[in-house]
Amino acid sequence: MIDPRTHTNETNPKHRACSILHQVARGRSQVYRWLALSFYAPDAELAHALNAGRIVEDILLATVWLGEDRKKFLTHLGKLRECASSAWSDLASDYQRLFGKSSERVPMRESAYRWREASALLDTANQVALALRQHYEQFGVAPIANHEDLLPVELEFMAFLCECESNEWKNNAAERARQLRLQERTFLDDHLGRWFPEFCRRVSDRAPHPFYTALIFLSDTWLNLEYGPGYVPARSL
Amino acid sequence: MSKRYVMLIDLQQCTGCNTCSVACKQENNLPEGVWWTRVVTIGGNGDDLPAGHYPNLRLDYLPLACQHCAQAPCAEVCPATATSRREDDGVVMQDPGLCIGCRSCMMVCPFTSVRVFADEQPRFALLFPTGDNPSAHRARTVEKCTFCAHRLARGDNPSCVDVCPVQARTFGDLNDSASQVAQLLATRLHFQLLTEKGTEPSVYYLI
Repeated sequence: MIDPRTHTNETNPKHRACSILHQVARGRSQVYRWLALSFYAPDAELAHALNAGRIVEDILLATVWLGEDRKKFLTHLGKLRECASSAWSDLASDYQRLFGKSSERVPMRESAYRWREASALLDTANQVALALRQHYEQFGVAPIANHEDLLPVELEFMAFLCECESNEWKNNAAERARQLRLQERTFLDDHLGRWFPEFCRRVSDRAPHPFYTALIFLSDTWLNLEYGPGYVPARSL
Repeated sequence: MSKRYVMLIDLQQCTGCNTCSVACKQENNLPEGVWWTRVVTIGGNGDDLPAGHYPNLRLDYLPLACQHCAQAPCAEVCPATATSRREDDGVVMQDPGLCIGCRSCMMVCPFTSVRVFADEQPRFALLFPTGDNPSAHRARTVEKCTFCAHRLARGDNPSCVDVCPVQARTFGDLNDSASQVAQLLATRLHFQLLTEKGTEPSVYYLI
């Protein structure tokens, strides 16, 4: 992606604005999509994308519009690039240690972090899943049962919302696009932003593979940029 | 008829002293590192550096802040209604209390650096607030010039207009044909920034 602010031929200021934000939202969707894919159990496709440097290149291209702010996660992208020679098997075994069936595992589910807010402690998972399912249904999507509060699912949902927003800007439907932008922020406010920093801190304590170290801090920095006021990044916990 | 507030800046008078920038900072109690108006040097590579070689030197100044566009794209895209254009006088307002920090307004604004995204918690050099602008500053929100809306509400000019030592700035209602701004625009050569973007800025530069 080229910088949308300097590469639009629109002369109508409203259409120009829509054209810029169409590309920005598409770029944001791309970043969320890569983060989501990277938090699923690694497969040959992810390893290939990493080895070929595609993850880093795509994220760099998708965030040109950030300007100076992009420097905040260049270090993490650099670390991710250094993992290009990582073997798939190494990633897979560390994924199992960190998030799989292991005594060291760090839960990758929102409900594991939101129990303090649940009205009935033992029912936290159901309450969180229900709230999320209702949220997803508003937008016509339905994840696999019992997967609603998984980190990669929540990230994928953000990618989906950004893609919808991008399409609305493309159609010059500013009102609908603005509503979607607000919904994205609400989802971060109500879900992802509330538990990701704690998850990130717990993962970093487990001395993960450099790929996962880079990934969690990249995600934390990205969410911090996305969130606006109120986000408490992992390193400040 | 509603008002259309505009600001005229006489580039023949402006000496680049930045009194306007400092007055704005004081009036709006701006945190460290945050400036809503500034003076850009048109010349060499850096502040107050002329272009060319001695004795053929050239240096101009361009005071720059929000242009309060009549067709403000920022107001069209703000998801939180933090940015809005007042219908009764054309001032483009920014409310940090409503801002969600998405920076959509910054992306679509054709003018560089007229908005500030305050990344850090606001820090102030003084222990007490200065000026009369009642709005609070919040980290990770966007701020910009409001034509000193709080001063307009009590019938005063924006602070930068009142303090300019060479009276380079004039402020008023363009829809009032008897106003000083209307008369100056009728008699003086002037330009607006980036007219090709179609946003119809409310800041005019007299040349």
